[in-house]
Amino acid sequence: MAARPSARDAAASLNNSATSAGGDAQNAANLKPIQVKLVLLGEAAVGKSSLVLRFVNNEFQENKEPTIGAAFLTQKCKLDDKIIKYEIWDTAGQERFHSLAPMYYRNAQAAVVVYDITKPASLDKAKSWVKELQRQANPNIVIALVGNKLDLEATARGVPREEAQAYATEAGLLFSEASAKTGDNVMDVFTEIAKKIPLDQLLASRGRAGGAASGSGAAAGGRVDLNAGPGGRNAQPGGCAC
Amino acid sequence: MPESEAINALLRPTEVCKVFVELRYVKRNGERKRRILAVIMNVQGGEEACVFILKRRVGDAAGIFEILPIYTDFRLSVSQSKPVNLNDVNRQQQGRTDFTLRLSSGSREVKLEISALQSLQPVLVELKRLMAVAQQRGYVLDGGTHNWVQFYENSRKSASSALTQAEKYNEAEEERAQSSLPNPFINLDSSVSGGNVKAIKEAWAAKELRAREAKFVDFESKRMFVGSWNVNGQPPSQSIAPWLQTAEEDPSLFVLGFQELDLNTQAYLYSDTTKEEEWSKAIEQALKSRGKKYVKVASKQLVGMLIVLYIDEKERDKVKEISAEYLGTGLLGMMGNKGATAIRFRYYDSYFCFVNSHLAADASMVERRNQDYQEICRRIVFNLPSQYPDFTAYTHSNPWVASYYDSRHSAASSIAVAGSPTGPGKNVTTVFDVDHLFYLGDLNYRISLPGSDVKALVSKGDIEQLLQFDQLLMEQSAKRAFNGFKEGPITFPPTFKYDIGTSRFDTSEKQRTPSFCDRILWFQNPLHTEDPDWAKVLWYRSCMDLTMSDHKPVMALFETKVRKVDKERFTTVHEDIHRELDKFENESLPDLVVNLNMLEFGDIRFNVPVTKTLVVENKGQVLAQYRFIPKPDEKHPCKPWCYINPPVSMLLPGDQVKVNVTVLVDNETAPSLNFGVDTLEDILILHTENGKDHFLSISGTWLNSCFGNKLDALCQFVKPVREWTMEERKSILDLSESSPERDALTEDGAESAEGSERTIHDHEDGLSPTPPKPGADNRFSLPFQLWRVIDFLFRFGMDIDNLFTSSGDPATEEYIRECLDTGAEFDVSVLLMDPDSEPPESADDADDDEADDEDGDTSRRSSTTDSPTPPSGSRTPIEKRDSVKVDIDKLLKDNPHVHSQTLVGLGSSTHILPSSGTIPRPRPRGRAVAVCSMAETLIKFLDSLLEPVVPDGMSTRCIQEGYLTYVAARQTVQRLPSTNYNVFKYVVKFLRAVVENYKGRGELNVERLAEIFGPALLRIPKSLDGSATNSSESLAQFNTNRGPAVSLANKRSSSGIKYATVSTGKSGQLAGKVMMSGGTGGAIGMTLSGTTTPAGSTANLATARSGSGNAEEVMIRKRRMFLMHFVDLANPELD
Repeated sequence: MAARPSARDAAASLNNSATSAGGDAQNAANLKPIQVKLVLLGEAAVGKSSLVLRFVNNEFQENKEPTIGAAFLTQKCKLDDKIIKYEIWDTAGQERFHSLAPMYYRNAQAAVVVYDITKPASLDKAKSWVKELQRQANPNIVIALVGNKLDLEATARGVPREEAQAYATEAGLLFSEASAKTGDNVMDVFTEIAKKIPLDQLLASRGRAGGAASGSGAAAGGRVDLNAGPGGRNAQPGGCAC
Repeated sequence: MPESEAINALLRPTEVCKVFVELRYVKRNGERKRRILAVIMNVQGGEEACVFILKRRVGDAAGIFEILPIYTDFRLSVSQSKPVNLNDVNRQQQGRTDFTLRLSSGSREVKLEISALQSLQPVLVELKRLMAVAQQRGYVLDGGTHNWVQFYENSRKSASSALTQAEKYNEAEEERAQSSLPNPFINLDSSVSGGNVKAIKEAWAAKELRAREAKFVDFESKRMFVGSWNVNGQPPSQSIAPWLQTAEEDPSLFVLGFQELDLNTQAYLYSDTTKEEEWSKAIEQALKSRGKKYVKVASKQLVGMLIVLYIDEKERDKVKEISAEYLGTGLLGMMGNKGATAIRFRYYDSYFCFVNSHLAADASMVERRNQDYQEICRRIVFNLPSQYPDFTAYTHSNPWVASYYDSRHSAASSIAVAGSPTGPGKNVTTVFDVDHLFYLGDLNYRISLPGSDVKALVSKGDIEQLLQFDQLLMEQSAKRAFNGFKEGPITFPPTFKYDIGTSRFDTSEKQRTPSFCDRILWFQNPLHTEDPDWAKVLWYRSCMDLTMSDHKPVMALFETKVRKVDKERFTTVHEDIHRELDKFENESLPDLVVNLNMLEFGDIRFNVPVTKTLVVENKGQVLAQYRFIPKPDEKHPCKPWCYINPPVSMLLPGDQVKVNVTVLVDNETAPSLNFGVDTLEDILILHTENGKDHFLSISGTWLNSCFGNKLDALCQFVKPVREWTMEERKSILDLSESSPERDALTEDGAESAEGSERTIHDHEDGLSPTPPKPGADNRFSLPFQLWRVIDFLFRFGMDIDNLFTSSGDPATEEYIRECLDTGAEFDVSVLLMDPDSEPPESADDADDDEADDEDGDTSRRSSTTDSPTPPSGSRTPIEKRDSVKVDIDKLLKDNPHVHSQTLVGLGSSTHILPSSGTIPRPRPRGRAVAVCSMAETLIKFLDSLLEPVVPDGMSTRCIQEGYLTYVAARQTVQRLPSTNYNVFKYVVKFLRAVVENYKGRGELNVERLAEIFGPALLRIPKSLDGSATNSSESLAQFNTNRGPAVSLANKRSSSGIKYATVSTGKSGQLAGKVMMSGGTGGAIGMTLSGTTTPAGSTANLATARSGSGNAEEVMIRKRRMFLMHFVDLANPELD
């Protein structure tokens, strides 16, 4: 029965095939978020949770209770034509929980190390966090040093901006002073981090690793490094949860 | 107006309301609306019935919201629904139970909700009955019954269309606003699993983009000329300009469909493009004189059918993603003489589809035409542009474009769809997946009137009358074909059939009835039904001037809305949507809350479990699961002395669970605490699946114990264990690590024998069985605690039945341990007191003690003098401690079972000063229980030693070399380090005393004692054979896994499988008990001790294990023989 194929061969004349114009379809495809695991570290009561709350919900709470554990939140952030999805682990600041921090900064692509501009000791602690991160975290981790409580600058500043800036420059960190209370500079912190993260590399590794969120690929794929443990607990079925 | 009246006001006299109930209609977005469910029945026989869902309007009769005819496919289900939205008190009161009623009839389905099940009862009864009737009589859709329903269907439709445009708009807006509200991650019916989160998000984002289309889209009205002509195989001999020139202004698009381009039968098989070229030229010629220049951008030919698309040259680049398809439905159901060619393309940001079709001819072939139409709609599919991997990706990128699914209820419902052509995973679109669908061609539907009547009506100009008999309109109204399609008003005469070259109806023999064969229809976009300007026909005409075919061409000018997406605004909306998704996502994260973050356990004693409870509550909106996870680089979520129950749990929103955390220090974990390697401090991590982690700090104070300790250490410090300083405790391990005897012995027996000999000589002076007294080196020769236990047994226990075989009392044992650890004297009076003689509370009462002093003294004296042993069951007096001492000395002197030599100076037990503080006395249980408790304590003490009396490195050799003869056995034990030798000798001496005392009673003979004490004194190493080695490794592994006391645990268990097995068993058992009872420490303690008979546990376990390895069994037997040599009174004592 040659009827059908021959009819097809002869009958068609398509003057123009589908063009590859970059329509909205492609645009939308580009808007798929790239996941970035970010951890907040720093001394107790410097305002880590408040910074996150400001970033995620644009809210501020006075007298926030201390974080005893590690809070988890997500927030997307747009950079040029890309969307970054931050998976934020806000950790407890108390010294007794120090030994648990590696669980959260392991495989993180970004860390925000927070100190309180009114408390010089908190900068020392921040420095020790930076050292620990540089020694033990993902070697490509982007670290931002953030001096919080900028709203108290006039009355209670204890750490000169120049001093912290000098240290940050020397240690190769992003640096800014911010206020979770007023919201000053908070968004910028996360945007600056997004700019510094090698997103294309992340995208590539995500494409490659896909669902196999294990090993180093888990950095991009697995939401929590806890998932990538040898027990294979709670492995997310898809590399990207978006 | 009451409900019943409102309903009746709605009904005709031919129908009655059988029963009704008021309930809530559940919208797809979860919102509830008040509705009335009424069962309406026709009274003209046949019991034809429907369920009406009615809507009350203020001050008005009820309006019909939905009608569900009761056919055989009518279904109903009732289920209990748990209130989900706990926070929203307005909508649902907490704790109320709702019932969900689902009704469906055909494709119509409603979900209703009611709180009072009883009010639903009569409705359910009636519905069940009517469903049975429907089954019995075989009522089906279009089965000729239920015609009366049409009346109500019409009133339902008119009711909704009666709303003004503004109202409609508002309602639609409201609906959209509402639909945006629910959190897509909180599914009302089922929990969101990790796997489909991505799909949920994408689908939600797509839905929102569709709903917010107006925010980022500009619509522009574009005119398009659509024409169709059956050319009857004729070439374009005439100019077709009259056909195409009719548009007053220049449209943007020309879409022309031709049929019967080629009537040559060969064309069925071999289509050639010369006809298309011919006609294209004619078209281009005709369009030349227009103001705009048009270019052909797409065409598709199948035999005689051709569809071409011309576009204003200036907009050439606005047409993209063009695809063209065809389908033959002619001869054999597949040939190209009938069928359709179709093109689909994107114009700006709208998708268009034009189907040019030639359906089956002949007046009688209505069914066939319907069928062909359905075939064409179902089987013409277009491949997706390559950037979309599948249909889902396409719909998510173009969510605003109507899809087949949106159209299902209008067009597609009449199409017998056998499996959806599109959907997830498929990479095609149907003709319905567009913004604008046009269907044109020679559809061949005729007028069902005699030709003469038609001609008469045409000549009268009564087209309207004519249309009453138009097959297509009739089929449409019966929803058998072209359902959901619209057509412009026909004001022209039938387009078929004319004599060629004229505009005269067919005068041939056949005298075909003039008909409106050639039509142009468009599909009403289901997403834009309220917008009259979405697609509208400006005019619809035929062209009488062209006479070369027996058909007249038809044409229509349309104005359609074409979408232009504003990129910038789109991005903003897209971002907004993702921000909302973020919020939803964060809100939908599991949120577990714990009531405390610190668990303070206070003082922790050996083998005394303490349990604290914490409450975990699910305060989130989704199902949440927690588990305790290990800290970095650890394998277990808690230290080995900690037990969590339940370690994993799943909580529904609002649920609470109590988590018991128990601290229990046993043989396994005590050494690391005793020697300051570990402390009772830990952080537990309660991890919420996909959510936050909580840290729980746990802490307790370890009360140092002689259990789980070392013989050397117990001899070294001349003060209660409890008073050892941390430095002293930490020094113990260093001390013994460097112990030369032990190391040498472990590594090489021959060499070490010498060393041990020397050691014994060094301590020769203190060797004879003396009461423990610090020697010249301020050291005990044997642990004072051991001496105290044995002393008590010797003094009060030598006549007790079932000594070493019946279990003790946990509370008493706890008391004994406490006395041993603190150095406090045993309160003998309480221990020995008959439980029936005195109320228990008096035991701690000093006054009572005082008052009973004299009395007790005499009674004790008399009892001891009267009989060699205190008769069990006799009243045991309460005495002051001093008097007890005196009395005991007396008792001992009078006891014929006492071997005086071993008990020199027994009464002076004040070398260790007791720790301060009082120890709560246990409830008196009588002498027998006290003695058995002490006996069990003895076994447990020996069992708990970090290193057994015969060190692990020596036990095999001792047994192997010494089991045959006493002489050999004695030789082997003489190699023991001095302390160990002293202890061994002392225990053996005591056992000999037991044998002496129980002589003739048959209970405790030499063999039995050797069996009981064997495991406590010598642990059989596991390196006997391969399997044992394996188990040793697994045990070492176990210990490693279990936690912090790694080095210690390994050290002891690597050479003491037997021991480790026992401990493991205990831990396991305890864990089991904790899990089961989840209860108080006391209960756990009970269970533990209750199941562990002093001899039994070890022996039984040994027996149980022996099954697995023969070598081990042999060793156990040899060990017993080895020990029997020493206990056998026929052999001399050790010296």
